[in-house]
Amino acid sequence: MTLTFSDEDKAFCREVGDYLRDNLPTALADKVRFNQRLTREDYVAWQDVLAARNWYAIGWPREAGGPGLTQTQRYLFEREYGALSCPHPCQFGIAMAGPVIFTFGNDEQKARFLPGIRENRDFWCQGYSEPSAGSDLAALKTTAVRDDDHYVVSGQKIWTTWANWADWMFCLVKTDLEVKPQRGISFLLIDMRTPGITVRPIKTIDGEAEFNEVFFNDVRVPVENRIGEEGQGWTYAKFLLEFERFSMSGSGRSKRVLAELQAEAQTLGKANDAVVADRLTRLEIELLALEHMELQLLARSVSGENPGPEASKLKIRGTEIAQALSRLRIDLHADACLVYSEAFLDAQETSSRPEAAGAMATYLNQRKLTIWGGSNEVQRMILAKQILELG
Amino acid sequence: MSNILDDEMRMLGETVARYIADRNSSAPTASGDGWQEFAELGWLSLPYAEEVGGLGFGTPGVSEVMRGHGSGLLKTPYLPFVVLAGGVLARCPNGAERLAEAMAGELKVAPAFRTAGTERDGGVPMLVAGKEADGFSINGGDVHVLAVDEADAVLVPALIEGSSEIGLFVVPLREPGVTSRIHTMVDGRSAGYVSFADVSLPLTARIDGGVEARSVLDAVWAEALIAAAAENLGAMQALYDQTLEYAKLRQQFGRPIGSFQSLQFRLVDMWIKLDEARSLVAAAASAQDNREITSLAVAAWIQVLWSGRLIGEEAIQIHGAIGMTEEFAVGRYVKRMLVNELLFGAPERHLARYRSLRMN
Repeated sequence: MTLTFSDEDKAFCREVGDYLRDNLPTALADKVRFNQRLTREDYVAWQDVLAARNWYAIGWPREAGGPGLTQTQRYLFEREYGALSCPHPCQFGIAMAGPVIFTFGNDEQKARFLPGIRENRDFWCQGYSEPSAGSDLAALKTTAVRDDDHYVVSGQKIWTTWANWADWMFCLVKTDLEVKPQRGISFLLIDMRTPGITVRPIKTIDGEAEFNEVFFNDVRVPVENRIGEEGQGWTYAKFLLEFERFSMSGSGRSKRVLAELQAEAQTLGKANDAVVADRLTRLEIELLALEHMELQLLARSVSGENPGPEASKLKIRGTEIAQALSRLRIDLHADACLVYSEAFLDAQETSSRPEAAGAMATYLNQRKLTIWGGSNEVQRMILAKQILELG
Repeated sequence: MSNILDDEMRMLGETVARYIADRNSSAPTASGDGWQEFAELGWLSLPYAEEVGGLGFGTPGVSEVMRGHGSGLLKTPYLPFVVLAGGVLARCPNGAERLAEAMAGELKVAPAFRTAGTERDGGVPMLVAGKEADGFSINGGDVHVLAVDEADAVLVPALIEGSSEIGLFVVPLREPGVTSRIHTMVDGRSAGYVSFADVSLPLTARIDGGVEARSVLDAVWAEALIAAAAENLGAMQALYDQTLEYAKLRQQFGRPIGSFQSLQFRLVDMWIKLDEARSLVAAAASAQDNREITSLAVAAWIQVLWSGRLIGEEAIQIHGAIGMTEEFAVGRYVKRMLVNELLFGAPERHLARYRSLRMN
């Protein structure tokens, strides 16, 4: 089955590419290109640019106020987007909270929350993982006890990306301790300014502090902030996992990084070094295979088939390739990567070798790719059970 | 690019699958078995353009037939005779007559180019053609030719004496001065080393009038690479299917071995590798532009070998000792892929080629 792009699709590509290029500030593109840290203001300013064209909530249907793109356009958008040094937008509102709200929320919740997400007015974080519930989400312990028209939430979340910046959190909590773990979980939206919430950043191996611990000490959350039925939170979380997987190949971004590495190898006079050249070519072919796997899955999807959990393969291969690319950049620049400057990473200082200066931190940071969004082991478990039907 | 409809391509796939299923109960096919049947099914004329009398199914059609060769372990020399030799005949104006005979199954031409042991480095022919008053005299030797024991003639490139020009010749194997030593390869298919000592040929034996031999060989080689990739893909699919099935049936420690997570993860990785290979072969087979075809063919071939090594080795390991037995099909698939790898080149050798294709 082959996918062909219509003239409208091609025009859409040009429209996307032109708009992004025209509106991406050079300073921001350089920060992305050289793997420097982005501030909350960087993200918000860039997401405003996307929201101005209603391309922030890119995957949303028209009924939810989104652009209502076809699956093909959605893919092409990612491709154009990845080709440029655009910041990877915060996904928690647009790709997670939003879809759950417009799929399972009531009309009042849709009216209250969707515009703020779509227009980039609210910054969201995801309250899933806990100290003893990482890949095994059903083991979570944070409780929400009903008290009249409120839930009283107590417990702790961890590895919460950008909780330190967030206005809102969508959160999995335990509302019933008696039933089977998967059936006692509910999905709450929590205002991060509510009394009783403490956020503590966790510094990671790359010097970054995007992860946080979040403590809930008798936090009162109105019952109207619960999405869907009480006890059905697990169903919504699973729905999201699939939503997330499809967009996690990162092939567009990896193609850009590969092209950068090829150019850097040329500049460094290593393009004809057999070891370097072979590693670059290997990754180029692996990436080409990923891209065609993605295209064929898309073609099946466009023809009406629901590939369901098959998309896990894209997350697995996409993240493995992205990690390999980040490692190759270190090997390419070798000793130049030994200069480790926090000031450079925070864009307070320039470097004569900016490609190398951010390489070490990026390699370390990219370890997260195979851990989050359902670790690659969890993805393999899903494929083994649901596609290979191994008991 | 073929203008065959999706439906026709699907029907071809079904015909191939039926053909393989019908033969599965019988003993392994003898080399060359079923050639007349192939002619009747139209498979011998399948790849070529309608202008030269073919059915116009192109590389996508060839891929269907070759996948069947891989999954059914057919020894029929379809790739050498139809894709390689036939591909050259179809591109040479003076090859038309022989192509017509070949499509009818009446003439079997074996190729002596672009597979291991046929040329020197850089595609330099191993044979020299001296010009004579009314023809040519071919000399040179030990060219490795696939399925030559079944062929009526061999298609050879030869350096025209005193020039750097390459000529393409069809040499009947019964000509005086042609000798061959036949051997079998590890997968049971046959080949031979062919030598030529003062073999006199008429002018009509040279078929490349009006075309550039090197570019003809290069174009045919790209198609053959996709065909070989499709054959390995058929073998890999069978290996994966059989290994998955075995993992669900085989009981150890009181449960199916497929219930152990270490095997589950490895089976998932086999499935992903298979999909990577399948996706690139499909992309290469349906590519339109000439340069794109060649670079995608090389990429697909590299990926197919990477995937095939993992799938083949894991298939044996997961089957355990039974996977090492002569009787069991697992080893036969692995041997088929191994031979194809040697014939068309290991991935390590192709990486630099891919690079230069992409840079030009």
